[in-house]
Amino acid sequence: MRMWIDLVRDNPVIKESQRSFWERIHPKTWPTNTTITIAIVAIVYFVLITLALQGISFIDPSVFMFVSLTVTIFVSAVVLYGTLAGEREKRTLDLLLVAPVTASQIVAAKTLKVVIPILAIIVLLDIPALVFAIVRNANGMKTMSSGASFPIAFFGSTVLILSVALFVIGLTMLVSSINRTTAGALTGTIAVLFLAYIVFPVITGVLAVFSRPLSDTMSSVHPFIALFHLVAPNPGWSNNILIATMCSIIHIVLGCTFIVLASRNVDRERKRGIAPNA
Amino acid sequence: MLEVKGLRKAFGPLVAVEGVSFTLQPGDIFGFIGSNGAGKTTTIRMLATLLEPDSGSAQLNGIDIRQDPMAVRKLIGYMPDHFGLYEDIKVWEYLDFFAAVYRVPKGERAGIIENVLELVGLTTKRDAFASTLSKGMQQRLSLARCLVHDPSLLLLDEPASGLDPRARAELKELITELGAMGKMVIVSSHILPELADFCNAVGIIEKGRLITHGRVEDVVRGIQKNRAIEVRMIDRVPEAGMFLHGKPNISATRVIGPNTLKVDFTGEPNDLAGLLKSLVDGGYLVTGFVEKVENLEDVFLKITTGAVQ
Repeated sequence: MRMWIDLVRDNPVIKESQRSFWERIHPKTWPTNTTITIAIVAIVYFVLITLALQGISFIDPSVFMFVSLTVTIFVSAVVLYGTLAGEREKRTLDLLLVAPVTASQIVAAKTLKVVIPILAIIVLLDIPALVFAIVRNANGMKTMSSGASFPIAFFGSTVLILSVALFVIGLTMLVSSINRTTAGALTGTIAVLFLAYIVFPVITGVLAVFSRPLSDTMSSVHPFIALFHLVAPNPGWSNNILIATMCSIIHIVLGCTFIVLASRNVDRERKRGIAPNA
Repeated sequence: MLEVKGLRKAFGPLVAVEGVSFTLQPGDIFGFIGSNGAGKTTTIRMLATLLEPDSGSAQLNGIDIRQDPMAVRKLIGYMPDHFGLYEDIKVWEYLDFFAAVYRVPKGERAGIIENVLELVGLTTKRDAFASTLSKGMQQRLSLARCLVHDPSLLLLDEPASGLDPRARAELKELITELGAMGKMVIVSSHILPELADFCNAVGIIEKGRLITHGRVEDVVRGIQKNRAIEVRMIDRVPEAGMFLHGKPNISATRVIGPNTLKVDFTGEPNDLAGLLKSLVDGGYLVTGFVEKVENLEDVFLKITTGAVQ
């Protein structure tokens, strides 16, 4: 555990990205694309919060959960796609592989790089959702409640978001572990996420023509649909919490599996290597 | 002590290394010589536990690299033929991270970093960004990284490639100093003069096979069966060649210049004096009589064909 902490705390990749981020948002360097983006996001964020506080009907607390899920997927992929491929590209991975650390420690340390951004997302988006939902419930709003089980809905949706984050982290690390360049890792990550979250729902939609129950079962694996079941259920739907739970479990299992596979890829590279002149 | 026995590695049909064996003692600086693609890097990567050998073994201080690679990694400092550069990181942060990776206690790291920076002459660059260092300084930083955990064996793959003459000379001094500190050093290169100066042992590899290895003098002597004597005289050079032909210990003579005769001599040093005396007694006006000792480059060119995998 101490080893992992050292690997994360002193990790050059993390230090590099932190330094690079601070440089981009440092007042001396204003305006940069990063600061402009942050400013726009912050304005939209505070406008939404203000509208929600004013009780504007179309601003529902559950919106924050959907935004949180979307941003989590995006941030996890963006932060991690280059971690292993980038070290390979800079030819710094050898320096880690020759050190007395296991492949799983290397992968875990790199994975932990995304923890702070994800926690920041949850603080910024889930907590306001919780606060506004409480306020609205107090005013008789039941939107984010799944009937009477509002706390469970909130807790469930947070778990769902974290499980999807784990899935994306695992998937991104796996893609990064098999690519030799950051460009290849980025393309691979986008392609796989596109397949998982865009193509897969289309396939389930087509399947509905042949088998409605099968289509419903498959589509409930999709995190956005599972989140709908949890925070804004249709009166005709049933088993909302069960569907969200299953979706979370599937994402957690797949995420952990992908992380293990990424570790194995790193370990395999250490043992087999590649022909030096290849 | 490092004991390498019959290392073999193939990548599909390509046999990169075949039956490499040698032994090193503490303080040995082993020059690993070979053309590009001869198998140097593959051998070094196997010793660094970055590649699993197909067969053979290597034991470092009694620990087998295949059976307990994690223990061996603590004893190895590996410097690849490229400097793995983290761009936005300071020199001391770079070393601190690797000290942490090698589990150097946090309380000892600062002192160790100061020491290795002093050893490699980068103390003034402690707070500089690694990306701003010159190529020579980056190589020295890479060497400092190899030293933060005080390894027994240093594996330096082409450490001097791309360095200017001054940086190369400084690196040589540094490696000599590490040998004097009792570390085993394996340094690969295809630039022979840079190795001949500071290695006390060499191994020549071609097409994955170690053709010869041992002390530099032994390797040179083993290859140089005949002593090459260059005799300079005022005139009658071809005649002197005829004069010596057929005499004891003379295997061949050749005129190599208007006033120079090359004599392939198989005798002992004492016999050399007799050779000179016989020339002088024969009335030849000898102005120079020098034994031409072959260097590592001559040996390398003589025993290798230049073929790669």
